[in-house]
Amino acid sequence: MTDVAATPILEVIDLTVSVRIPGGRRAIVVDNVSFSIGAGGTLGLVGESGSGKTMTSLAIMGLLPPAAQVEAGRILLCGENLLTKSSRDLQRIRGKRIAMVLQDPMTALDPSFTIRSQLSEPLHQHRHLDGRQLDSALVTALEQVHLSGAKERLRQYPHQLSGGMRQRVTSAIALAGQPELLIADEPTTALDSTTQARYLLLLRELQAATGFALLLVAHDLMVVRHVCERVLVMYSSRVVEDGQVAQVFSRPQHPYTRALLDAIPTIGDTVSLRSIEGQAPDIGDNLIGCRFAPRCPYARDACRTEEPDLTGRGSGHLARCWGTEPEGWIT
Amino acid sequence: MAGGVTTAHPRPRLTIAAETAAGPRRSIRLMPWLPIGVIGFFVLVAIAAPLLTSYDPLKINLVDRLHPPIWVNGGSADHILGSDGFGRDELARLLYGARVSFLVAAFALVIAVALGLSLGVIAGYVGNTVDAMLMRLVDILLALPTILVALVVAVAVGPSFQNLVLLLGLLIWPRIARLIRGETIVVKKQDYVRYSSAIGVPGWVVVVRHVIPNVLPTLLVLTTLEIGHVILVEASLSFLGAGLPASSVTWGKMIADGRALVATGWWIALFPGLAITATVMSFNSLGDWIRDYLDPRTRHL
Amino acid sequence: MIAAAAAEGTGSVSPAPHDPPELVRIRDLSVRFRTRRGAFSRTTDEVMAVDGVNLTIHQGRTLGLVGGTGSGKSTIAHVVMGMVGLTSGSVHVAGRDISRISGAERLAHQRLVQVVLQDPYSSLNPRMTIGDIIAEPLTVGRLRMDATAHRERRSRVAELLDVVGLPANRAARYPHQFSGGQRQRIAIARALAPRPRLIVLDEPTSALDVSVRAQILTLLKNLQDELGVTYLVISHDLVTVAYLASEVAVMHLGRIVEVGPMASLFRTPRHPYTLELLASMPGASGAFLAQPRPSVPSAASLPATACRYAIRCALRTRLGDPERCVEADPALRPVGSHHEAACHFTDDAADLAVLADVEPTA
Repeated sequence: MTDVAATPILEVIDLTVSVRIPGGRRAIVVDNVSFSIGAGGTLGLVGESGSGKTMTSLAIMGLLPPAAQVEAGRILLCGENLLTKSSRDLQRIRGKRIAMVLQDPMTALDPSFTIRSQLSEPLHQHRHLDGRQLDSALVTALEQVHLSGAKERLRQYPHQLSGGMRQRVTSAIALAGQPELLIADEPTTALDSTTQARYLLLLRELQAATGFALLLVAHDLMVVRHVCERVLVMYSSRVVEDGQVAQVFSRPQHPYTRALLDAIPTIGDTVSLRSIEGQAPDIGDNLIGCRFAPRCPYARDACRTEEPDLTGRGSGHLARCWGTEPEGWIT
Repeated sequence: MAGGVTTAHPRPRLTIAAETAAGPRRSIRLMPWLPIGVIGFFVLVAIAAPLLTSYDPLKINLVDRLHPPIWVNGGSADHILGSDGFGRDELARLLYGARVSFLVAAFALVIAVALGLSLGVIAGYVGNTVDAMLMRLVDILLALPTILVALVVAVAVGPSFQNLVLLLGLLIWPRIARLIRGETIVVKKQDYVRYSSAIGVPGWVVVVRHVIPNVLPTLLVLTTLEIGHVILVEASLSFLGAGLPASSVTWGKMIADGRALVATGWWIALFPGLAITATVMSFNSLGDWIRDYLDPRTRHL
Repeated sequence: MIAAAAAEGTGSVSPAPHDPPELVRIRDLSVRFRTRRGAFSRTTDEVMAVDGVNLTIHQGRTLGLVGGTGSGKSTIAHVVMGMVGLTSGSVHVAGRDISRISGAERLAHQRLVQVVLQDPYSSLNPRMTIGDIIAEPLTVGRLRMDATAHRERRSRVAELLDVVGLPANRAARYPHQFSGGQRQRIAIARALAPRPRLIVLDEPTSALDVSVRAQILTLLKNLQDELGVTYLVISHDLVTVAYLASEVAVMHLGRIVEVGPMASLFRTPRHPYTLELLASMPGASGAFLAQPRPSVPSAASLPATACRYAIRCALRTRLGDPERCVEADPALRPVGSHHEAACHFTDDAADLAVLADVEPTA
C-alpha cells in the first residue's frame, strides 16, 4: 500500500511498559515497540500469551492495569500524545476516536439492557442522533454488521443472542461513533471456527467500506492474514518481525515467525505439523542475548551473547535476528 | 510507514523472579503490620495481665475512686490510667477486660464458623430442597435484630459465659453460612470439581478435598471481619447490662460504668472505647488485606 | 474404521474384517435438557442436545467429533464420561453399559474412561499440588493412604510427569506456577494415571495459543502411538480433529450430518455444513463463505419436517430453494467407502467443494 502523506492515525514510538511482579520488582513486558498505522491502514499484532501484545494494546487504549506503567515512549493519535492526556480526555477519546472490540462477547455487553439501548448510547453520545434519525441509524448499524431482522434484534437482550451475533453487536457499537482507529483485541478467540471465519470476513469488509485504521491483536498468524496488510510479530516483549503480510508469510525473516508458520497444520492425506519445543522466557527473566535463542534451531554463539537489533530486510521488512541478516547463515 | 527504527536504548537490567518450591512468594514488606501489631499487642497484654498489674480489677476501694490518669493534674503513678467510680484500677480492668472480650469473641466464633461452614457448604453443594430450607432458616435468623434478641435471651436465661458465647455464636453463623453457600456454588461449577465427581469420588470426599480448601479464603476474610462484629455486640450487651455477670469485667461494662460519669471521670469510658475501636478497626483492616492478598492468586494472568 | 448405522436402519456400514475390536458403541443416543424459560417462569423449554446418534470407536483409533456451539458434541463427551445422564439409547464402553452404572462401578469406569477438559485454568484445583492432582484418579474414595501406596503413587506421578514432558521434580508445585500449555499437560498426565483405555479430549487445545497448541497435539499423538490408547476428540476446530483423528463425524444441532475417514471428508466432503467447516479453516480463501445463504431470520418460519441445516444452507440457496429441503429431514446414507452424509443433494455438495478449497500455506 502506498504511504499516506498525512500524519499517521496511530504512531507508537519506543513504547516500553513495565509490570510489578511478585517479589516487588518490575519487569519489562513491552520493550521498545514502535509501529505506525496510516489512515485506512491495517496492522496485525501477533504473539503468544505473555509476548506483550495485549499490554501494548492496553497502553494505547489507556487501560493498563494498576500494576503496569509506561516507562518510556510515545503514543500519538493523529499527532497528539495520548500518554500526556488526562484520564478525562482519554475517556472522551475512547469510543469516539478510538474504539475497541474485545475478546469476550459474553461480558462486553451489559446483560440488563436491550441491544437497542446499548447501541443507542454511542449513537446518541458521539453523533448526537435522536428520534427518527436514531431509529434509522440503529437499523443501518445492524445491517452493516450483517445482523438480519434488525427490529427484532433491537428488542432482544444479550443472552438471547449467540456468541457470533454478540460480537457483531459489539462491533456495531464500536463503530457507532465513527472512530478513526479500531482496536480489535483477540476478537475471535472465544468463537467457534465457522463464526470466527465469518467474523473476520466481516471485519475486512467493514474496514474496506468505512476506512478506519485497524489494529488487530491475535495469537494466531492466520487470523491476520486475510484482514491486515501489515503484521508485527512480538516475542517476549520485543518486536521480532515487521513487514507486509504477503512478504512475512512467504519469506519469514525470523525463526520464531517461521516456527509459527510451521506450526500451522498442513492438510494433505494426513495432517502434519511441526511444533516449537520449549516455551517463552518468563516475564522478568534476565536473559542475555536473543530471547528466542534457547528454542531456536538456528542459534549460534553470537545469538547467545548479544541480542540483535531490529534491522531491515528490504522494502520495509524488518527482523531481529543475526542469522537472517544479509551476511547471516540462515537462508 | 515502516515500523521500528534501530534503537540504541540501553536495556534495563532486570532481576529474576525466582520461583519458590511450593506456594507463592510472599513479600514481607507488604504485610499489614499495623493491624497485626495492634491485635498482637492486645492479645499479649491480655495474656500477661497478672504480670502487668497487681491490682484486682474487681476489688472495690472507694477511697481510691475517680483518680484521673497520670498525666492529668491530680493523677499519680498508683493508677496510670486512673481509677473508676468504685476505685478500681482502670489499667487493670482494661487488661483483664481484654481477656474476657477476646475469649468471648473467640469461642463465639468457633461456634459460628463450625455451624456456618458446615451448613453453608452442605446447602451449596447438595442444593435443591436442603439448600432452600437452610437458606430460609438463615433468612429468618438474619432478619432478627441481633442486639434485641441477645438482650431478651440474655435476660431470660440469665447471664453466664457459656450462655453468652452460645448466643453470639448462634446469632453470627447465618451470615457465614450464606456467604459460604455462595462460594460453594461457584466452586462446585469449576471443572476440577466436575471432574472429581465424574470419576466417582464420593460427595463427601469432594467436599473435603476440593470445596472446603477453596472456600477457606472467603471464610478467613469473613472470620476476621466477624471478630470485630462479635466484640462490638458483646460490648453493647454489656453496656446494656445484659452481658456477663457482675463478677466479670469487659470493655463494654467499663463503658457502661463510665457513662454516668462522663463529666467527672471522662477516662473511665474513654479507654475501653478506644481499645474497642482500635481492635475492631484492626480486624477489619486485616480482613481487607487478606481478601486483597488472596485475590490475585486465584486470578490468572 | 468407523461404522455408523443410520438412524432409520438404512445403509448400515459393516466393519471391515481387519478392524480392531470395538471399544465404544453408541446406539441411538439422545439427550434432552430442560431449561426454564425465565427466572420466574414455570414453562420449560426442551432441547434435544443429542438426537439419535450412532457411533463406534475401535480400539487404538481416534474418532473426531467436530461441530459448532450447540452441536451436541460436548454433551456426547459428557455422557461417555458419565457426567451427564442420557435420555434414551445406549452407550457401551468395553462391553459395559454405562447408563446403568452404580456408584461402585463408577470407580471401575473411570479407570477405563478418562477426560481432558477444555479450560486448563478451572480443571485443576488451585489449592492442590500438581502431584496430588495427577494422582487423584488413583486415590478415588480415599483421603489417606498407607506408606506403600504413597510411595507407589509418588513414583507413578513422577513417571507421568516425565511422559508429558514436565520435570518430575515439580510435583510439589501449584497450578498457578504453570502456564496454560503446561497445565494442559498436567491434565493429560492426570487422565493417563489409571491407564485408561479411552480418553475423551474435550476441546483440548481451544484455550491455548496456536504455538502451544501444536506442542500439545504432538504430545497427544505421540502418546497414542506409544500407549495405544483410544481417543474421542471433540473440537470446533476441524484442524485439531484432523490432526488426531482417523475418522471424523461432523455434528450439527444434535445430529451427525457426515461421518467417514478423515481423508474422505477433506477430499470429497458431501454435506454443506462440512463444506462450511472446511471453508472456515485458516487457509481457506473465503470464497465459500461469501456464498449467499437463506435470508430467513428465525427458525420458526421453517416447518418442523425441514432439514435442520436448511436455515443456513448455502447449497439450498444455490439450488434455488428445492422443496425437498423443507419436506424431509435427510437421514445418513452412504456416499463412499465407510463414508456417510445426511443431505438430499450430496452430489451437488461435492461440486461446491471446489469453493471450499484450502490454499496451501506458504
